[in-house]
Amino acid sequence: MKFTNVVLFAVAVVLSFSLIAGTTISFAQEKMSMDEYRAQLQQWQEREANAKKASEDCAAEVEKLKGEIETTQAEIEKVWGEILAEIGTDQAGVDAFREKLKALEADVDGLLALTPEELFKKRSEVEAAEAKLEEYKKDRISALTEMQNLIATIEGKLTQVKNKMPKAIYDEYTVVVGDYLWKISGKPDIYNDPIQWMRIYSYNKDQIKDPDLIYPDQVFKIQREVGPDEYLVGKGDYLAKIAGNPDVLGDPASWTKIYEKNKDIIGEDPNQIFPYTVLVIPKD
Amino acid sequence: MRKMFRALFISSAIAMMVVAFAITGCSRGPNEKELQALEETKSAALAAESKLSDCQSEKASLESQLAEKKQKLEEMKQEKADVQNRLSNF
Repeated sequence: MKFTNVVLFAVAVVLSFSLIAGTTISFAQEKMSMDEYRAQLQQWQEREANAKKASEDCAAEVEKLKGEIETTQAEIEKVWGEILAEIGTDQAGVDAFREKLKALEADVDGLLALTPEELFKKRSEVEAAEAKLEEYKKDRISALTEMQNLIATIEGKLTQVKNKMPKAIYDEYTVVVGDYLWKISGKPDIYNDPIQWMRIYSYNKDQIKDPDLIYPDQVFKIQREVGPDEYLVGKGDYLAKIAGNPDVLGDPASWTKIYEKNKDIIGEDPNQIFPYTVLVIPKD
Repeated sequence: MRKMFRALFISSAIAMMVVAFAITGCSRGPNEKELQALEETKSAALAAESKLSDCQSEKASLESQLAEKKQKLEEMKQEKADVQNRLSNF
């Protein structure tokens, strides 16, 4: 009996310590005390309350900002409308004008990509582009800063084109002993046509006083392309006809201007001009 | 005498059990329901903070937009003055 009592007592002691130790260990490992629980609960409740309050304030500020953005946008549109009224067009007109300028810029870019010789041949296109730009500059829409910038860009490119374009396209030929204009003109690498001697003579009038007198080592310019202020006389041409050509002066009565400018090469009789004569066309 | 010892042993054992239960009972942690309430409060707080963060991001974006619009408005006013000036020279 005594042994039974001792065992019973030991079981009670072990059970009690197990309960206390188990509780303590479980607290230490994963559980929290009620104080900690309350502290955490209060902390989260405060965070939630603070966040909700701040959210409400933030939402009010967001609404205010939206309103300000709307008002500012309306002001922008109002001022833009006033600008459009100043230049006398609408948004579609501005867009169309921009497209025209961009198309012109693309044309000028195309010209800029050409070789100098190709450019010389297409100089009428360069002049047309310049004329078109001048026309656009007269449009009130060009007063917009965006258009001013585009126009300045195109003008810069046109300047590059003109700098790249040669004033004249010609080769050079050095006279050798035994040469005469007829012979030079007939050479395959010159004009391959003796009759065109007049072209060499008139194009080098500053060096040739008498077409029958040329000297070795003289360097003649052999014209390859007719320049912008030049006219190559063709068969059947006469001064009034040339002056009447829209690409020349566009007025037959102005033939005297051509004659005066080329009197030294034409001679005393304006009714007699020879094919392949290079005439200089007066600018005004 | 033997009965007295036996009674003393049993009383001591019972007393120790009572004390043990008392200790564990007095220092109890939050129960399941309380823990769930804490979790819900925590979730609600985090959700509110997340909403606040979203709102603050939107606010920052709108402030930036407003600054851009104001800048654009100033440019537009300047453009109007420039256009008027250029047109006067047409």
